[in-house]
Amino acid sequence: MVSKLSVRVAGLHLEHPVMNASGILGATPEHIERLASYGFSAIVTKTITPQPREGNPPPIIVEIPNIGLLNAVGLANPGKNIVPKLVEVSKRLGKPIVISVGGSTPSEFLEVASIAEEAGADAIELNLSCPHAKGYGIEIGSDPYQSYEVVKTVANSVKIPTIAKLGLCDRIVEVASKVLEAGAKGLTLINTVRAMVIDVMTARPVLSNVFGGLSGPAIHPIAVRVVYEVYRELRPEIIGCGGVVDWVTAAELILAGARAVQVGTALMWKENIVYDVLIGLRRLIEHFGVRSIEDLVGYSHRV
Amino acid sequence: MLANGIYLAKLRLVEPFESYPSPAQFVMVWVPGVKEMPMSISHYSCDGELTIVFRVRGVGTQKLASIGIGSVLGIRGPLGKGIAIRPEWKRVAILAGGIGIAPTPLLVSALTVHGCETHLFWGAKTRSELFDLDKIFVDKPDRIEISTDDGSYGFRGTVLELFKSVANVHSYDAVIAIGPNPMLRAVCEDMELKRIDPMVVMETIVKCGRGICGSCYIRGSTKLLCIDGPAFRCSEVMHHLRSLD
Repeated sequence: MVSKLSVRVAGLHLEHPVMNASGILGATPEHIERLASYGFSAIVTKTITPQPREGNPPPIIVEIPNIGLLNAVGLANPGKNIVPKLVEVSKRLGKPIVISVGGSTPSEFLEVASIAEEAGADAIELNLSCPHAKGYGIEIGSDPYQSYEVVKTVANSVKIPTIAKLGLCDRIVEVASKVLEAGAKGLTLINTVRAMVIDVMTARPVLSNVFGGLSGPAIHPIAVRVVYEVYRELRPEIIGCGGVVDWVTAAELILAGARAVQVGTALMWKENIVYDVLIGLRRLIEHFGVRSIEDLVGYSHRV
Repeated sequence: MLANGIYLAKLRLVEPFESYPSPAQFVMVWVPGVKEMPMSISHYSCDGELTIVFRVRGVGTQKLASIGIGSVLGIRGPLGKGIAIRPEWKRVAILAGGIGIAPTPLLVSALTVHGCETHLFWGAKTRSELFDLDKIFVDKPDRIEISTDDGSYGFRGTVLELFKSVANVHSYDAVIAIGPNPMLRAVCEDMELKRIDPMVVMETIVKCGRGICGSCYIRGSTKLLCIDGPAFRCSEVMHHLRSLD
C-alpha cells in the first residue's frame, strides 16, 4: 500500500514530501551521507558548475535572530567531476538524487546536466535563482527569455526530469510560464531573496560579497504567496521552498500548491526537523479527512 | 605580542555569550572589511571578556595583530561542541603543538574545576615561538614540559617524543592532543598501537561555522568539524588525517 505521505513530483516518486534545499551541504559524498541521515526523501546537491568554484571569502553568513540567515557562499563547489560520486553514494543509500546545476550560459548548464543524466541521477534542478554569484542564478532567471533558453537547451537534450528553481522577481509568473513551455517538468519556488546586513558599529556591510540571499522565517510568507500565485495561474508541479521550520510552515506551502517541500536553514536549529514535519502532516491529513497528502496539494484553492 | 608572530588579544563583548563556552569551542572573528577567521577561545570571563591567542598567518591575522586598542571586531560564537569532561577523569595529559596552545587555558581551567590533575606537554619548532605560559593561564597546569624541534629550549624533538620520553601514557585517564594535523596524526597512530583512543582538537578552514556550507567536512565520515567538533576521538578522524598528505 502506498503511504499517506508518499508523493510524485516532476517524475520523482518520493516516500514523503520533505527534501533538502540545495546549498545545504551536498557537495561531497560525505555531505550526501549526512543529508540522508537527516531523513530527507530525496537529496538535492549543492549547485554544481562545470568548473570548480572557490566561492566567496568569509564572512559568508550572518545569522539574524528570529528572521533567518543571510548567506553569500557564492556557488562554491568542486565542479562537474564530482557528480558521479554524489550519485553513487545516494544510490547506495537508496535515496533519489537531484543534481542542482549552475552555469552562466545554456551550454554550461547542459554540460553538467548531461553528466548528471549519464551518472544515473533522478532529476536535475536548474539554479536560475542564486542571488549572490555574478553572472549566475537570478541574473539569468529574472529574464523570461534567458530562462527559456537555458531550460529548453537542457530539457531537449536530457531525458531525466528538468526542474527549474526560480527566485523572487517581479515577473515570476511569466518566467514560470516560459520555463514550463521550454520543457521543465516542475518548478522549485523560491530561492533565497537578495538582501544585506550592515554592522552599525563599523558602518560596513558584513558579507564580503555585500549582498547575500536571505532564507528562513522572514521569506516564508513570500514563498507561500509565490507558490499560491504560480499554482493558481499555471497549475504546474511545484516544490515549495523558503522558511520551512516546522510542519505548519511546510503545510502552508503544500496547501498553496506545492507537491513537496525543501528544508534548508532550519537544519541549523533542528536536525530532526523532517520527522517533526511528517508527524504534523499526518495529523493534517486526518484533520481534513482526506486519503493522502496529495489530496491537500493546492487545497487552499478549493475551499 | 607573546612571542615571534604570536599574539594575545582581549576582546570585550558588547553582549556576553549566552552560555559559558566549553573547552575547545571557538569563535569566528570578523576583522571588518578584511576577513572572518575561526579562533579558539583561550579564556572567557562571565562579564564578557574573551581572550584569544593567535599566530599571524595571512592578511586577516596580520590586520588583527596591528589594530589598536578600542577597535571594533565582530564575534560569532561560541561555536562547535567542545569537550565534555568526564567525572572519572582524575589525571589528563594535554599535548599541544605550536599555536595548539591557544585553547589549553580554558581546557585546564575546566579540568581543574572538575578536580582533575592536568599535565601539559607543549612543543614548538624553536625557542622564539615559546613564551611565558603564566601570561595565558588562569589556572596553572600541575605539570608543564616543553620541547622544541631544534632543541633550542627544553627537550629536543616533537611533543609526542617528549611525552613518550618523560611520561607514561597509562598513568592518564585521558589524552587530549591539540595542534596541526600531522602532529595529531602522529599522536593517533602512536596511541593506536597502545589501544588508546585519544581526543584530538583539530583545525581546518571554517567558513560558515553552522553546518551549512560543508567546507569543514571530515573525510570518510558524516561529521562536520564546525558543529560536531573541533574535538573528536582519533577513531573518528583517522581516515581524514591520513588522507591529508
